[in-house]
Amino acid sequence: MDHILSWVVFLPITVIPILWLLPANKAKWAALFITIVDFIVAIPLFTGFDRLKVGVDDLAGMQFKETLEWIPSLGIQYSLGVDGISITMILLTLIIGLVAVLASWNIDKLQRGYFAMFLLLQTAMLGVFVALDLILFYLFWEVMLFPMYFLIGVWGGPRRIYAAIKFFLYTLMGSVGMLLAIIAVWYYAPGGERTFNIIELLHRVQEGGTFVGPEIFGMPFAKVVFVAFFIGFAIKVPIFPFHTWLPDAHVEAPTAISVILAGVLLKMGTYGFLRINFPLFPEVFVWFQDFLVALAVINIVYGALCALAQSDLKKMIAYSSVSHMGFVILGIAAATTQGINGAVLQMFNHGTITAMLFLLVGVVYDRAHHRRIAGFGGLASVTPVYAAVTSIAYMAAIGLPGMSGFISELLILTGSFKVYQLPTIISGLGIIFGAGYMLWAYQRIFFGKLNPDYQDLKEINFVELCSVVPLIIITVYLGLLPNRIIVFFETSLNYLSEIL
Amino acid sequence: MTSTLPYLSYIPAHLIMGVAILVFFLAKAIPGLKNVSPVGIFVLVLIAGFVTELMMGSESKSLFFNMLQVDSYSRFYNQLFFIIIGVTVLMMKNNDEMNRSIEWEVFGLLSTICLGMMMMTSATHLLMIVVGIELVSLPSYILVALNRRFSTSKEASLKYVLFGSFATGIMLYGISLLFGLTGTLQLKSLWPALAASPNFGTPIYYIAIIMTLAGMSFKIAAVPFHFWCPDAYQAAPTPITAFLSVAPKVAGLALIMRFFADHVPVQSEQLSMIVSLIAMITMTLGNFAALRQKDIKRLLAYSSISHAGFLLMGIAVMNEVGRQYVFFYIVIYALMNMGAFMAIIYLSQGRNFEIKSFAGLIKSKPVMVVGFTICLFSLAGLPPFGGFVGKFYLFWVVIEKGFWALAAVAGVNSVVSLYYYVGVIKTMIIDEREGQMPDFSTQSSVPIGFVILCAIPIVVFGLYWNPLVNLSALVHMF
Repeated sequence: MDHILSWVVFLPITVIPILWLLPANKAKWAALFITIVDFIVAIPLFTGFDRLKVGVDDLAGMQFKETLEWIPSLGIQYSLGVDGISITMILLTLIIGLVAVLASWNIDKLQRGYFAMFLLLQTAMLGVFVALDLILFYLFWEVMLFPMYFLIGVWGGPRRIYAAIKFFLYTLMGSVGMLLAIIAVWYYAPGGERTFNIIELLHRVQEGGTFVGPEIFGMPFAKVVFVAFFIGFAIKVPIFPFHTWLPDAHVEAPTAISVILAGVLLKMGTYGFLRINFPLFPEVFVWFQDFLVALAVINIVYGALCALAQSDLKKMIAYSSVSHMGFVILGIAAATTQGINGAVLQMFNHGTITAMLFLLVGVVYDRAHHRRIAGFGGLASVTPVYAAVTSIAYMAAIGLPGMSGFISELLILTGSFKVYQLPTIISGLGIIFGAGYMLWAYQRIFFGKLNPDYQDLKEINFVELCSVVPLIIITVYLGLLPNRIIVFFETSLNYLSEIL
Repeated sequence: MTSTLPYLSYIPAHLIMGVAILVFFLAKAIPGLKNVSPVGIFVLVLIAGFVTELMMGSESKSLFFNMLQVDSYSRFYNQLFFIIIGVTVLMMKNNDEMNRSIEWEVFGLLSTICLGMMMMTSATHLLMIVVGIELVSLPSYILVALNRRFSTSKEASLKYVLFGSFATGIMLYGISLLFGLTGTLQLKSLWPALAASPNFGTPIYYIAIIMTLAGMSFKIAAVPFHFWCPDAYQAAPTPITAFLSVAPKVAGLALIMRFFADHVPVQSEQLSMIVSLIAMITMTLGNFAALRQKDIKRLLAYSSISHAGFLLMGIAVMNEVGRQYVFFYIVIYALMNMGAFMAIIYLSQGRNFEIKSFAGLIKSKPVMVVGFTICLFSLAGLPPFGGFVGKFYLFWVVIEKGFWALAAVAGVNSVVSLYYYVGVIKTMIIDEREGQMPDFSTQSSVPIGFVILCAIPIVVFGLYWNPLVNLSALVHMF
């Protein structure tokens, strides 16, 4: 099939008009149908993907390419393509999308509007991972904002309006700087001829081209542009001190949206680092590396400590995301082969594992209508299946050997130990704290004296199991056979670690 | 005298408007005209004006001994004015804040403003500039006072008059200084003479230019001549507010661009500096003041102030490209602002303009609210809407010139502006309504169609803006 990437990206929004032709409570079926179809359509992407092609800065190595003239006067192209990094993220997005539809099964309020926004979000996320043109990338990046705003703002918890606008403003703040940086990169493109094509720009940089521009506020051009990009992406990751939107957004968002936030959205930031920010300015990256490692360590340790202090289960998981994303940053910052491979593997694994955690919080919240860790107790005796499933998910989050999280954290730490011993050792604390808050929370919820209010708590139901079990399978499978996913991105990332 | 007559053939649209002014003001004295619908005549006049401007092509010509300059620049802007006034008439039809019995006079005033704006886009002589500005200002004062629903509209109008005459006074003083420095009032010879004069770069040189700029800043409501704006916008009948927030502002911007167009290269740096400063202050003040507004018309007034600041970015770079992208943004700005005001007229039913009163309207009027939301997101400059593309180009021309501070301030401002636009959206879509939904059953559905007609091109231009870029590339001065 031609134009397979366009199909995969735009299929979700094609059903939005159809939602209004269906009865209001059937919208979820349409959404489920199209996400499954999208998955099936995307299968040739994974089977036909040539794992030996590098991509990154080589236009010929990008696969399933599509290029159309869009705005000729500026040289903006509609340009899509995938390499090892993007294909992994596409897989993650499709899986999380499917899981999130199932997690939205109980949405009753304005169902059509919810799924319209949901599918628009899905298209925007897929688009970010395949866009090869900076303007196209920016467009998808921004289009994601307002469905997200409404999804949190309309269907969220009690403080949803505050959380939604905070998320919106934070991200926009970063992306406006990014827009200015994009214009600057385009205008002062190395080699004279201006282009928005990311791959073409990377290629020129690799050939020895540099961005020669005037000083900005007395600082060298490349550094300022680098920092502008960095802040834009760092807010999404989120990197300390830009992380404060995350706990609010996660806690107030409905379950499915928390899943998407943690599962896919956070990865966009690190994807942006790998695709645009760092390879475009390799020299500035070297200057920035030590600082980045420091930020990564702060993220890991500070996130874990915050998680330890939370009384709200969802907020605890939100902070654990901050901590786990710190590992991704550490791996990228180390810029060794293992480090970067581990970082992308961690992006995938964190996506699946945290999605699971949020789904499981959603299960208990739907029944008990609160999320205070101390408010439960002894649930293992009432809902044994739920307790068992949760235990697997928590073990995965801790990074138990045999689960996927272990492999990626191991890779990252071995990768970074070569170059940054002390920070790596401190980061190890994050894992210990991680075991601490996870097990402690598990113990308080499932063991101990049974809280009499929850004697009749309903067991996890079929739809909920359907959304969690596939993720458990992925986690265990990749824990035992991590190479099944590593082969997709290895070639690209080995090359990337060389050029950084 | 006879030698000037042939010039008239270059300004047919001005003549049409001139005749229209006479007809409308004398209408009640002309027998037989009473039974004719004034709206019909006015629409015909607008169409005739639009078509004649369209037919004139791209020939440029200096008229009346360098008093006026007609070129594709002035013609494109004039066509825009005809369209905007046409939309205003459509809004007046769907709104009852104005007394229907004085329609003849209102159309006479609008014709006068239109003629004034056409002068502003072509004026190349400082006295012509003053005439243009006053032709626009005087009828505006009256139009603001015509709201029969809003008791303090007379007060707002008086405030408007005072500020207007103050600004004109400053401007005339500035002009006299310029004349004293150079001995000429024609822009073409004024700038070279200023650059060559011994006073070049001295305080008096700046004072003269800034004072002359005051009158024009008043028209675009740039800081510090913006004080009239929120009051006048709030008090005026809503269609007039919509009109004032777009047309005279566009004319003022066009005039400023014309005013600076003839500067000689040595001056460009300081002039850029002056305009950048005004732009930064205007957008920042407009945005931060908008954050606290509770009345939707006042909110849009401040938003239009900050947009004037954004548009000044394109003027600050002082080149042809900048002017073209100002035109680009103005087209989109007109679309989104007119769409937003039409939505307000419909949703408020001409009575309650408090943002609170829009709570939960998504439930009863989803299509209208979605259209309005698109206009607001576009005003905030979010992709994939036209407003983003407009800002994108303005950012580009500014970065091209290396005005990083201006780019950074504008960037921060577009984030701030999101907050209040989203506040309105939040009220309509997220908030629950307490009490009864307003009854929309008696209202015509024309406004809904109109807002959708604004929203569609906003989205289309946000995704594929080639046609509009090509159109802006045709906008040439001289």
